[in-house]
Order: sequence, then C-alpha cells, then structure tokens
Amino acid sequence: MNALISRKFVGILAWLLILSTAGSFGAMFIGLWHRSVGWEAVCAELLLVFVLGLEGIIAYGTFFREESVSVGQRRQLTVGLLEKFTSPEAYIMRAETWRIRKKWLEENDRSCMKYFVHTKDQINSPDEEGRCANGLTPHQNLS
Amino acid sequence: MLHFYVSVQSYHEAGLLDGKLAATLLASHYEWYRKFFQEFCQEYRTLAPSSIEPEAEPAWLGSLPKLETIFDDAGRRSVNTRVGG
Repeated sequence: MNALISRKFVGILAWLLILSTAGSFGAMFIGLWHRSVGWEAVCAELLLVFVLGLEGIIAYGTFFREESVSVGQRRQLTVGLLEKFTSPEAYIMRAETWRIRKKWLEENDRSCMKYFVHTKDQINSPDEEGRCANGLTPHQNLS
Repeated sequence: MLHFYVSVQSYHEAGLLDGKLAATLLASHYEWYRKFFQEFCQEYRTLAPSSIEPEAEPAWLGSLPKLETIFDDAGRRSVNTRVGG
C-alpha cells in the first residue's frame, strides 16, 4: 500500500469512526426516549461512544498530520526563498533586471518585450543579445 | 526574476509559505519592481496576439497580480525604509 492510498484509507476510516460515533450517540437517545433502560446500559453505550469518538479523533489527527505542512516548515521555505533571492547566483539576474527596469521606466525603452511576444513574423533568437556572466541573456535573466 | 515571483505566488497558493513572513521579507523587494512589472504585463497584453490560448499564456501574467494581495500589508509599511532591486 503506497503512501497516497494509505492516507486515503486513514481519511475514510476517520470519517466512518466519527459517523459511527454520532450514530451511536443518536441511537442512545432514541433508545432512552422509547423505553426505559437501566443505568448499566446507558454507561455501556456512553463507553462505546467515547471509544469510537477517541478512535475517530486519533485517525482524523493522523490523516491531517500526514497532509499538513508544519508552521516551521513553512517559515523555513519562506526564508529559503529570500536566501535564494539574495544569493550570489541571483546577483546577475537582479542586476540585469535592474538595467532593463531602469531603461523601461526612465527611457521608455520597451525593446525587451519583443523576446516575450512571439508572432509568426518575428523570430526571437536569444543569440541576438549578448550573454551575461551567468550564461543567460538579459531577457532570460528578467524571465 | 519573473518566474521567481511566480514561484513565490505558487508556493503561497499551495499553503507552503508563511504569508506574513513572506510579506515582511520579500514585499520591499517586490515593491521595487511593482510598477515595472505592472507596465510589463500591460504591454504584453497589448502586444500579444489575441488568438493566444489562456493555457499558453506565460505563468507570470496571472501570478504577478495575485502577489499584490500577498504583499499588500507588510509591503507598503516597509517600502520607504528599504532599498530593493
């Protein structure tokens, strides 16, 4: 059984247990309503409901523990993105984007756009541009 | 660069990022590119052939506008205090 089927199985089991808990609880009240039963029977039914509910909660918790990403993992990934952005490898990418942005905003130079818009008449060869130190062209760094 | 911010948005959409921390760490950087990216997307929409299928559109065209909501709070607070780029 692979992990995906295992999670699905645990999820279904959790729902069945929670539904059976609710069903047992409801059945107990119906029983009490229609006929008088002894306190032993009520205690036994409550015990059953408690055990079923506990199993359901455990299964449900297991299911979501498998599915969810912890707060620590989310923070780690977030910081990792900043580290990637500020890494020496990203420096040239940022520098080239800086130059393109400067030309775009200050000189209204939108020539870089031709590498992004493909038409039948326009063949955009990356060899038209000089390579940056990281081996990519300026527009590839922007992309 | 464009696809770096696509990955930020995609991670956030998948629930794999701490949104508040992402805004604190990356919003000021994004703010520096914001106007350029907005104009870039607008220019692309103007120049791209209208026959292009939505599936064939570049990922950044849909992702960059969504970043606005992620970075909205923390980004605008810190934009005047940091240098991006």
